[in-house]
Amino acid sequence: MDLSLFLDQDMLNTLLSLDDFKGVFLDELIDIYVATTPQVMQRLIHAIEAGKELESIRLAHKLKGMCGNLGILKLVAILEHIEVSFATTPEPNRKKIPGELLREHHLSICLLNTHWHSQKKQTA
Amino acid sequence: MDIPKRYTITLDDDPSIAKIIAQVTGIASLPFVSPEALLKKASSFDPVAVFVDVHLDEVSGLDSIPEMRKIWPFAPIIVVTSDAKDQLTGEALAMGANDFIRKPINHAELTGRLHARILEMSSRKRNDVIEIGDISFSPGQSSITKEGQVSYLPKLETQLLTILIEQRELIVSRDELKQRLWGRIAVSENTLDRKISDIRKAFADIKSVCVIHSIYRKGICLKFVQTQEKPEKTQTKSAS
Repeated sequence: MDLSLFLDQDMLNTLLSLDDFKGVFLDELIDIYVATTPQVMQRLIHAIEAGKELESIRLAHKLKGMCGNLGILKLVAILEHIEVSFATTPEPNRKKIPGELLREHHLSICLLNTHWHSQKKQTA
Repeated sequence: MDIPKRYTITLDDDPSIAKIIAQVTGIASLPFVSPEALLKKASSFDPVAVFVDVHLDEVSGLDSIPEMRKIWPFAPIIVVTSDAKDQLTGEALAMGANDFIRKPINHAELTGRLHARILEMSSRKRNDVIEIGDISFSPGQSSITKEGQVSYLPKLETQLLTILIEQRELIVSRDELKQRLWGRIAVSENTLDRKISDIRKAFADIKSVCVIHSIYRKGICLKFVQTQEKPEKTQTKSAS
Protein backbone atom coordinates (compact mmCIF):
# COMPACT_ATOMS: atom_id res chain seq x y z
CA MET A 1 0.00 0.00 0.00
CA ASP A 2 1.30 3.43 -0.93
CA LEU A 3 0.86 5.34 2.33
CA SER A 4 1.35 8.70 0.67
CA LEU A 5 -2.03 8.28 -1.06
CA PHE A 6 -3.77 8.19 2.31
CA LEU A 7 -1.64 10.34 4.61
CA ASP A 8 0.30 13.51 3.92
CA GLN A 9 3.75 12.36 5.03
CA ASP A 10 5.23 15.86 4.89
CA MET A 11 2.57 17.25 7.17
CA LEU A 12 3.02 14.44 9.69
CA ASN A 13 6.79 14.89 9.62
CA THR A 14 6.33 18.61 10.25
CA LEU A 15 4.12 17.81 13.25
CA LEU A 16 6.78 15.38 14.48
CA SER A 17 9.43 18.07 14.16
CA LEU A 18 7.48 20.34 16.54
CA ASP A 19 8.77 18.39 19.52
CA ASP A 20 12.12 17.48 17.99
CA PHE A 21 10.86 14.12 16.72
CA LYS A 22 10.15 12.80 20.21
CA GLY A 23 6.67 11.93 19.00
CA VAL A 24 4.84 12.94 22.16
CA PHE A 25 3.04 15.83 20.51
CA LEU A 26 1.99 13.84 17.44
CA ASP A 27 0.80 11.00 19.70
CA GLU A 28 -1.36 13.49 21.52
CA LEU A 29 -2.91 14.76 18.26
CA ILE A 30 -3.56 11.20 17.06
CA ASP A 31 -5.17 10.35 20.41
CA ILE A 32 -7.43 13.40 20.12
CA TYR A 33 -8.34 12.36 16.57
CA VAL A 34 -9.15 8.80 17.66
CA ALA A 35 -11.16 10.02 20.64
CA THR A 36 -13.16 12.81 19.02
CA THR A 37 -13.79 11.99 15.35
CA PRO A 38 -15.91 8.80 15.69
CA GLN A 39 -18.71 10.77 17.35
CA VAL A 40 -18.71 13.45 14.64
CA MET A 41 -18.54 10.71 11.99
CA GLN A 42 -21.62 9.01 13.45
CA ARG A 43 -23.53 12.29 13.48
CA LEU A 44 -22.52 12.94 9.89
CA ILE A 45 -23.65 9.50 8.74
CA HIS A 46 -26.99 9.92 10.51
CA ALA A 47 -27.43 13.33 8.89
CA ILE A 48 -26.65 11.91 5.42
CA GLU A 49 -28.99 8.98 5.91
CA ALA A 50 -31.74 11.27 7.17
CA GLY A 51 -31.30 13.53 4.13
CA LYS A 52 -30.38 16.55 6.27
CA GLU A 53 -28.25 18.43 3.76
CA LEU A 54 -27.27 21.49 5.77
CA GLU A 55 -26.39 19.40 8.81
CA SER A 56 -24.37 17.03 6.59
CA ILE A 57 -22.46 19.93 5.05
CA ARG A 58 -21.77 21.49 8.46
CA LEU A 59 -20.52 18.24 9.98
CA ALA A 60 -18.49 17.37 6.89
CA HIS A 61 -16.78 20.75 7.18
CA LYS A 62 -16.03 20.19 10.85
CA LEU A 63 -14.66 16.71 10.24
CA LYS A 64 -12.62 17.94 7.28
CA GLY A 65 -10.84 20.37 9.60
CA MET A 66 -10.11 17.61 12.12
CA CYS A 67 -8.75 15.28 9.42
CA GLY A 68 -6.83 18.06 7.70
CA ASN A 69 -4.74 18.67 10.82
CA LEU A 70 -3.21 15.20 10.39
CA GLY A 71 -3.08 15.21 6.60
CA ILE A 72 -5.62 12.43 6.10
CA LEU A 73 -5.88 12.95 2.37
CA LYS A 74 -8.58 10.56 1.11
CA LEU A 75 -11.00 11.32 3.90
CA VAL A 76 -10.50 15.05 3.43
CA ALA A 77 -11.28 14.62 -0.28
CA ILE A 78 -14.55 12.77 0.41
CA LEU A 79 -15.59 15.33 3.03
CA GLU A 80 -14.76 18.18 0.68
CA HIS A 81 -16.92 16.52 -1.95
CA ILE A 82 -19.84 16.40 0.52
CA GLU A 83 -19.28 20.00 1.50
CA VAL A 84 -19.07 21.38 -2.03
CA SER A 85 -21.56 19.31 -3.97
CA PHE A 86 -23.96 17.79 -1.49
CA ALA A 87 -26.72 20.25 -2.02
CA THR A 88 -26.74 19.41 -5.72
CA THR A 89 -25.89 15.67 -5.61
CA PRO A 90 -28.98 13.53 -6.37
CA GLU A 91 -30.05 11.57 -3.32
CA PRO A 92 -29.60 8.04 -4.81
CA ASN A 93 -25.90 8.82 -5.40
CA ARG A 94 -25.37 9.50 -1.73
CA LYS A 95 -26.09 5.96 -0.61
CA LYS A 96 -22.51 4.81 -1.03
CA ILE A 97 -21.04 7.71 0.91
CA PRO A 98 -21.60 6.50 4.52
CA GLY A 99 -19.84 3.18 3.81
CA GLU A 100 -16.98 4.98 2.10
CA LEU A 101 -16.64 7.38 5.02
CA LEU A 102 -16.61 4.65 7.63
CA ARG A 103 -14.05 2.62 5.68
CA GLU A 104 -11.69 5.57 5.21
CA HIS A 105 -12.09 6.71 8.80
CA HIS A 106 -11.29 3.25 10.14
CA LEU A 107 -8.32 3.00 7.78
CA SER A 108 -7.02 6.41 8.86
CA ILE A 109 -7.02 5.36 12.52
CA CYS A 110 -5.22 2.09 11.69
CA LEU A 111 -2.59 3.82 9.57
CA LEU A 112 -1.95 6.60 12.07
CA ASN A 113 -1.62 4.16 14.95
CA THR A 114 0.57 1.63 13.17
CA HIS A 115 2.85 4.02 11.28
CA TRP A 116 2.91 7.30 13.19
CA HIS A 117 1.94 6.79 16.84
CA SER A 118 5.25 6.38 18.65
CA GLN A 119 3.79 4.24 21.46
CA LYS A 120 1.33 2.13 19.50
CA LYS A 121 3.44 1.36 16.45
CA GLN A 122 5.96 -0.49 18.60
CA THR A 123 3.29 -2.83 19.91
CA ALA A 124 1.35 -3.20 16.64
CA MET B 1 -8.23 26.61 34.51
CA ASP B 2 -4.62 27.56 35.36
CA ILE B 3 -3.75 30.76 33.56
CA PRO B 4 -0.13 31.12 32.45
CA LYS B 5 1.58 34.51 32.39
CA ARG B 6 1.57 34.79 28.60
CA TYR B 7 -1.07 33.04 26.58
CA THR B 8 -3.29 33.16 23.55
CA ILE B 9 -6.95 32.13 23.42
CA THR B 10 -8.32 29.68 20.86
CA LEU B 11 -12.03 29.54 20.11
CA ASP B 12 -12.51 26.33 18.14
CA ASP B 13 -14.65 23.22 18.55
CA ASP B 14 -11.72 21.06 17.41
CA PRO B 15 -9.57 20.50 20.53
CA SER B 16 -6.41 19.86 18.54
CA ILE B 17 -6.27 23.42 17.14
CA ALA B 18 -5.37 25.04 20.48
CA LYS B 19 -2.69 22.37 20.95
CA ILE B 20 -1.20 22.96 17.49
CA ILE B 21 -1.23 26.74 17.95
CA ALA B 22 0.48 26.42 21.35
CA GLN B 23 3.10 24.02 20.05
CA VAL B 24 3.87 26.10 16.95
CA THR B 25 3.95 29.51 18.65
CA GLY B 26 5.54 28.37 21.90
CA ILE B 27 2.85 30.28 23.83
CA ALA B 28 0.17 28.39 25.79
CA SER B 29 -3.30 28.65 24.31
CA LEU B 30 -6.46 28.54 26.42
CA PRO B 31 -9.08 26.50 24.55
CA PHE B 32 -12.76 27.48 24.32
CA VAL B 33 -15.34 25.63 22.27
CA SER B 34 -18.18 28.16 22.40
CA PRO B 35 -18.30 31.97 22.15
CA GLU B 36 -20.72 32.05 25.07
CA ALA B 37 -18.29 30.30 27.41
CA LEU B 38 -15.45 32.55 26.29
CA LEU B 39 -17.33 35.87 26.49
CA LYS B 40 -18.60 34.99 29.95
CA LYS B 41 -15.04 34.96 31.27
CA ALA B 42 -13.43 37.28 28.73
CA SER B 43 -13.00 40.34 30.94
CA SER B 44 -10.76 38.36 33.29
CA PHE B 45 -8.33 37.49 30.47
CA ASP B 46 -5.57 39.53 28.88
CA PRO B 47 -4.43 37.38 25.93
CA VAL B 48 -1.46 37.98 23.63
CA ALA B 49 -3.78 37.13 20.71
CA VAL B 50 -7.08 35.42 20.00
CA PHE B 51 -7.66 32.74 17.35
CA VAL B 52 -11.24 32.29 16.19
CA ASP B 53 -12.76 29.51 14.12
CA VAL B 54 -15.63 30.48 11.82
CA HIS B 55 -17.89 27.42 11.87
CA LEU B 56 -18.54 26.42 15.44
CA ASP B 57 -21.41 24.14 16.45
CA GLU B 58 -24.44 25.90 14.97
CA VAL B 59 -22.97 29.40 15.45
CA SER B 60 -20.42 31.54 13.67
CA GLY B 61 -17.28 32.55 15.53
CA LEU B 62 -17.27 35.75 13.48
CA ASP B 63 -20.33 37.05 15.33
CA SER B 64 -18.44 37.18 18.60
CA ILE B 65 -15.53 39.24 17.21
CA PRO B 66 -17.09 42.71 17.76
CA GLU B 67 -17.65 41.86 21.43
CA MET B 68 -14.08 40.54 21.75
CA ARG B 69 -12.73 43.69 20.11
CA LYS B 70 -14.47 45.82 22.75
CA ILE B 71 -12.99 43.74 25.54
CA TRP B 72 -9.49 43.44 24.01
CA PRO B 73 -9.00 46.54 21.87
CA PHE B 74 -5.31 45.81 21.30
CA ALA B 75 -5.17 42.00 21.12
CA PRO B 76 -4.71 40.67 17.58
CA ILE B 77 -7.75 38.62 16.55
CA ILE B 78 -6.88 36.05 13.92
CA VAL B 79 -9.55 34.00 12.16
CA VAL B 80 -8.62 30.37 11.47
CA THR B 81 -10.83 28.32 9.17
CA SER B 82 -10.87 25.55 6.58
CA ASP B 83 -13.67 27.33 4.73
CA ALA B 84 -12.37 28.28 1.29
CA LYS B 85 -14.96 30.97 0.53
CA ASP B 86 -13.21 34.17 -0.53
CA GLN B 87 -15.79 36.53 0.95
CA LEU B 88 -15.05 35.21 4.46
CA THR B 89 -11.81 37.17 4.60
CA GLY B 90 -13.67 40.43 4.01
CA GLU B 91 -16.38 39.51 6.49
CA ALA B 92 -13.83 38.63 9.18
CA LEU B 93 -11.91 41.88 8.72
CA ALA B 94 -15.14 43.90 8.74
CA MET B 95 -16.09 42.30 12.06
CA GLY B 96 -12.83 43.56 13.60
CA ALA B 97 -10.43 40.69 12.98
CA ASN B 98 -6.82 41.57 12.17
CA ASP B 99 -5.88 38.61 10.03
CA PHE B 100 -6.97 35.35 8.49
CA ILE B 101 -5.31 31.90 8.32
CA ARG B 102 -6.54 28.84 6.44
CA LYS B 103 -6.61 25.32 7.89
CA PRO B 104 -4.71 23.06 7.85
CA ILE B 105 -2.46 25.54 9.58
CA ASN B 106 0.79 26.35 7.85
CA HIS B 107 3.21 26.70 10.75
CA ALA B 108 5.47 29.35 9.24
CA GLU B 109 2.45 31.40 8.19
CA LEU B 110 0.97 31.18 11.69
CA THR B 111 4.09 32.44 13.46
CA GLY B 112 4.77 35.08 10.81
CA ARG B 113 1.26 36.51 10.92
CA LEU B 114 1.06 36.34 14.70
CA HIS B 115 4.32 38.25 15.17
CA ALA B 116 3.34 40.86 12.60
CA ARG B 117 -0.05 41.44 14.22
CA ILE B 118 1.39 41.62 17.73
CA LEU B 119 3.82 44.30 16.57
CA GLU B 120 1.09 46.19 14.75
CA MET B 121 -1.28 46.18 17.71
CA SER B 122 1.48 47.08 20.22
CA SER B 123 2.33 50.08 18.10
CA ARG B 124 -1.33 51.06 17.91
CA LYS B 125 -1.62 50.67 21.67
CA ARG B 126 1.32 53.00 22.23
CA ASN B 127 0.16 55.61 19.78
CA ASP B 128 -3.62 55.71 19.77
CA VAL B 129 -4.63 58.96 21.37
CA ILE B 130 -8.05 60.58 21.33
CA GLU B 131 -7.94 64.34 21.61
CA ILE B 132 -11.19 65.56 22.99
CA GLY B 133 -12.15 68.77 24.73
CA ASP B 134 -9.00 69.93 26.45
CA ILE B 135 -7.56 66.47 27.11
CA SER B 136 -5.73 63.68 25.32
CA PHE B 137 -7.05 60.27 26.24
CA SER B 138 -5.02 57.12 25.58
CA PRO B 139 -7.13 53.99 26.18
CA GLY B 140 -4.08 51.82 25.55
CA GLN B 141 -2.07 53.52 28.26
CA SER B 142 -5.11 54.20 30.45
CA SER B 143 -4.09 57.82 30.75
CA ILE B 144 -5.55 61.29 30.33
CA THR B 145 -3.23 64.19 29.68
CA LYS B 146 -3.58 67.97 29.72
CA GLU B 147 -0.64 70.27 29.04
CA GLY B 148 1.90 67.73 30.20
CA GLN B 149 -0.01 66.70 33.32
CA VAL B 150 -0.96 63.04 33.28
CA SER B 151 -3.55 61.15 35.26
CA TYR B 152 -3.80 57.36 35.07
CA LEU B 153 -7.00 55.38 35.32
CA PRO B 154 -7.59 51.74 36.32
CA LYS B 155 -8.83 49.30 33.64
CA LEU B 156 -12.58 49.54 34.27
CA GLU B 157 -12.51 53.33 34.59
CA THR B 158 -10.64 53.44 31.26
CA GLN B 159 -13.34 51.32 29.64
CA LEU B 160 -16.04 53.52 31.19
CA LEU B 161 -14.41 56.71 29.92
CA THR B 162 -14.01 55.15 26.46
CA ILE B 163 -17.77 54.47 26.33
CA LEU B 164 -18.63 57.97 27.55
CA ILE B 165 -16.28 59.53 24.99
CA GLU B 166 -17.77 57.41 22.20
CA GLN B 167 -21.19 58.77 23.17
CA ARG B 168 -20.13 62.21 24.37
CA GLU B 169 -22.89 64.79 24.82
CA LEU B 170 -25.39 61.90 24.85
CA ILE B 171 -26.98 60.35 27.90
CA VAL B 172 -25.89 56.76 28.39
CA SER B 173 -28.16 54.74 30.64
CA ARG B 174 -26.72 53.23 33.78
CA ASP B 175 -27.96 49.82 32.68
CA GLU B 176 -26.03 50.05 29.41
CA LEU B 177 -22.87 51.10 31.24
CA LYS B 178 -23.17 48.26 33.73
CA GLN B 179 -23.87 45.76 30.95
CA ARG B 180 -20.83 46.90 28.95
CA LEU B 181 -18.50 47.02 31.92
CA TRP B 182 -19.53 43.99 33.93
CA GLY B 183 -21.63 41.92 31.51
CA ARG B 184 -23.94 39.60 33.38
CA ILE B 185 -22.42 40.25 36.79
CA ALA B 186 -24.88 42.15 38.97
CA VAL B 187 -23.31 45.29 40.48
CA SER B 188 -24.80 48.00 42.67
CA GLU B 189 -25.38 51.60 41.63
CA ASN B 190 -22.70 52.57 44.16
CA THR B 191 -20.09 50.53 42.30
CA LEU B 192 -20.77 52.44 39.10
CA ASP B 193 -20.85 55.74 41.02
CA ARG B 194 -17.43 55.03 42.48
CA LYS B 195 -15.99 54.51 38.99
CA ILE B 196 -17.54 57.76 37.79
CA SER B 197 -16.20 59.53 40.85
CA ASP B 198 -12.68 58.23 40.08
CA ILE B 199 -12.85 59.65 36.56
CA ARG B 200 -14.09 63.01 37.88
CA LYS B 201 -11.16 63.05 40.29
CA ALA B 202 -8.76 62.31 37.43
CA PHE B 203 -10.26 65.24 35.44
CA ALA B 204 -9.92 67.49 38.48
CA ASP B 205 -6.29 66.43 39.04
CA ILE B 206 -5.31 67.79 35.64
CA LYS B 207 -7.84 70.67 35.75
CA SER B 208 -9.76 69.51 32.71
CA VAL B 209 -12.94 71.18 31.52
CA CYS B 210 -14.55 67.77 30.89
CA VAL B 211 -17.42 67.05 33.23
CA ILE B 212 -19.53 63.98 33.84
CA HIS B 213 -23.16 64.66 34.63
CA SER B 214 -25.38 62.16 36.43
CA ILE B 215 -28.90 62.76 35.22
CA TYR B 216 -31.53 61.41 37.57
CA ARG B 217 -33.36 58.36 36.16
CA LYS B 218 -31.75 58.89 32.76
CA GLY B 219 -28.08 58.10 32.96
CA ILE B 220 -24.62 59.56 32.59
CA CYS B 221 -23.34 62.15 30.13
CA LEU B 222 -19.85 63.43 29.33
CA LYS B 223 -19.70 67.12 28.39
CA PHE B 224 -17.15 69.89 28.05
CA VAL B 225 -17.30 73.35 29.44
CA GLN B 226 -16.29 75.29 26.35
CA THR B 227 -13.80 78.11 26.70
CA GLN B 228 -13.14 80.85 24.15
CA GLU B 229 -9.39 80.35 24.21
CA LYS B 230 -9.60 76.64 23.60
CA PRO B 231 -12.47 75.50 21.39
CA GLU B 232 -13.51 71.88 21.49
CA LYS B 233 -11.63 69.64 19.15
CA THR B 234 -12.13 65.96 18.53
CA GLN B 235 -9.82 63.84 16.51
CA THR B 236 -8.14 60.49 16.66
CA LYS B 237 -4.47 60.04 16.01
CA SER B 238 -3.39 56.59 15.02
CA ALA B 239 -0.04 55.11 14.15
CA SER B 240 -1.55 52.82 11.54
